[in-house]
Amino acid sequence: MKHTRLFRNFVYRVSHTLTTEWRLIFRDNGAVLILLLAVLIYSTLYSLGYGGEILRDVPIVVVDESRTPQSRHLIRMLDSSPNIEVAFEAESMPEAQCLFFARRAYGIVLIPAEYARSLVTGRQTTIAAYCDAGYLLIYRQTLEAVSTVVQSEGVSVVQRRLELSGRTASEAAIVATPVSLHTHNLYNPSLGYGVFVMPAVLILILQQTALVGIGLVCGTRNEFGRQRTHAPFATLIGRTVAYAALYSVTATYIFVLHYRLFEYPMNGSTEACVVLLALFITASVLLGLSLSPLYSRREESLMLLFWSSIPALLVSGVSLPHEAFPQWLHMLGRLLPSSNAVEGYIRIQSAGASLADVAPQIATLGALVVLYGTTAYIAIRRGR
Amino acid sequence: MSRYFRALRNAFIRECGRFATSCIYRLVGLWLPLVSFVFFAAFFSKGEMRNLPVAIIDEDSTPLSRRAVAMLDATEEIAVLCELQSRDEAEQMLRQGDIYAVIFLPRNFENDILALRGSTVELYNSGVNISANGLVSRGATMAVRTLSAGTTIAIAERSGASIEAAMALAQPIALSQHALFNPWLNYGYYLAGGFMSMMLVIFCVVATIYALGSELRNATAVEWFNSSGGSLSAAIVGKLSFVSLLMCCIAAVMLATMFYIVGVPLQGSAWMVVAATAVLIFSYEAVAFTTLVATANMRLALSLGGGYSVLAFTFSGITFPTMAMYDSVAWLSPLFPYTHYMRLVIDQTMRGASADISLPQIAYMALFWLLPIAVMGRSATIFRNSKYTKRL
Repeated sequence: MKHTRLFRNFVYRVSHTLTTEWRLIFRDNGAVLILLLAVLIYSTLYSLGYGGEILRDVPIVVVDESRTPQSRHLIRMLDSSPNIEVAFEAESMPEAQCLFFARRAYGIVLIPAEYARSLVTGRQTTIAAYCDAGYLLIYRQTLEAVSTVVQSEGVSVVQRRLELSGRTASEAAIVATPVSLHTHNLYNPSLGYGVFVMPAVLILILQQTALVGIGLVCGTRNEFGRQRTHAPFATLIGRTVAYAALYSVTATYIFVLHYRLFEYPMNGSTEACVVLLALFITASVLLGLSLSPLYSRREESLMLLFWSSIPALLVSGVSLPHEAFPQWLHMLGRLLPSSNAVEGYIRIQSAGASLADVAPQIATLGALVVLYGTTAYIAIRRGR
Repeated sequence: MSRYFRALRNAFIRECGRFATSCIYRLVGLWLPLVSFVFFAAFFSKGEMRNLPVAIIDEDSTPLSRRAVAMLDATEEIAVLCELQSRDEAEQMLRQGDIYAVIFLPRNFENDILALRGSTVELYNSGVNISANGLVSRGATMAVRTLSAGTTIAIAERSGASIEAAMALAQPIALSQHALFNPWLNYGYYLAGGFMSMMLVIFCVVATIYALGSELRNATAVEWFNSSGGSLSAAIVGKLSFVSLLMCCIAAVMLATMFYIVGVPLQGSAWMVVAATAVLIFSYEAVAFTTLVATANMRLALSLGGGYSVLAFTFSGITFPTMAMYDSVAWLSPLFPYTHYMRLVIDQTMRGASADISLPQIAYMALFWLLPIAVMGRSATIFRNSKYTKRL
């Protein structure tokens, strides 16, 4: 009997906190803007920004000092490569460099004067490729395209040479390249940029808006001084549910509708996604509530947290794989719900990982829920 | 004139006092920027990406296949983490993220090559992280090409060709690669500049909006104008010169960190970078001022101004090039001073471009100084009218 009454009391307190919190949120334009609209606006703008996905036809300039049928052929081959386009032919290197500095061309290919003669006489000749390493994506694309064309051009030259010396065509092809490399790009076959970066960005948008939005609502409350609560645990549960419910809606929009709209990979099982995201959202909300004593005014969360999105993105290991930055930063990054969710979610949706495959991420997120649950409880008990 | 100067000085001194007494002002104007620079210096301290873990499935296990494995492992990009027996095992490791790729050497690898039947090395390269994918692909391509060329030379020599002729047979057209202006090919060099200037931009916008907006928020605008003897322009200029000075100091720390600690190269003119950084600060102050006056609400101005500054990173094209963006969004790119600044920074740090290439970028940024003109009239209204104070 007593237990039932206590339980009823608890449920009443939770639902009371929940409705109070929702009323606070929906009556506050600032909170609605950050907690709901910002998620929609940012996700759309970023997805559009990366929407082109693949870089095609990077303009390059060719300096042809050979001016022979052979060099013309090479230029045609370069031009027909899907990733680059011979946009200009320059008379000299200085002229080519001018085009480069003006950002009209992003690479220079120099065909030497003795190109055709060397090919005919069986000597090695060297093509020089100058690629723009100021932008690494462009650099990689141009260099790969040029080197593939040059390689295949070389192979056909050798083949012709060997056929002349009496080998069969197929034998000649094998002598020219006895070992070849066949590449299969898994999980992101066209190597789209949006497919690579957007899942991480979307997860970060959810976390950062939650942190700032909760900070805004709590900061507003803090402006009226400390508010001791009689039932800190019920308050904690009520507030967590209030925000987690909002974020379940926005997360569903992002990971179901938005994902379909922009055709991001959805290869994973729904259960794995739901478990991971539920833990992620809970951990983010609890982190937000834990940070709330820091703000004595409503705008302070905006001021203090705006900058943190980029470091948070970096430590999640997306822009650079974690082998490229210090181990201690990687470990520190595990304290953010986003780092674990990004790693787990990408594996589930891109590589089709099962719940068991992402067990480490799930475990860390669970630990974060406990950790930030405790800190949020302390914050609420202290009246913040 | 001297009266105006005194008014300006008083507004400036008052702002120093506000900075000294406000904890949040000191945080966004000084401490957090410094913390963020320390973060980036630490983050990029490792330099280049190297030795990404891959797994090998060697079904051949002959001297030649072992040599192939050794050559793959010897590349800078790849480190052979383990050798596996089955594809299932490999797939699981890929899914768990322990490795970035699996390299498969088929049965009869050596026999097929020596008997002139040819063989293929299969690379299963995860596309989940395209920077890692690119590195693994580069390493594997180089290793396999070297192995292939070595085999061609061996075959040619066996049939009595001279070394020179054999070389020309293995690689008739060599490609000499020149990375124009980032010969170090260090991802960090070019990202560090981008991220750290992004931080400068964010803090500049936030600090400017706070400096102005808190006068509305706390209803202290009257006191502010009294300090400048009632002159609106002296009040604004005095206040913003303090913010500018603060941001220029922060920018000096940023540039020092970039060039001396992270080690970003400087091929062009240091003065050009310094000048552009100052112009960038003024441009974003102008943007922040305009946003605050237009909204007359510090919280909303922070939301909008902050969002605008963060979005610039994507639309500047430094990671995903503008030319690959949809035409419908690519036009947004020049609408951020940051875009022009980053072009200039890349031109001056890596490309060593001449001044005439970079001056237009400074001019584009300076165009943003005109923005406040549009809201000048309104600024007199909102700062003087108590209707606009204490808005949440």
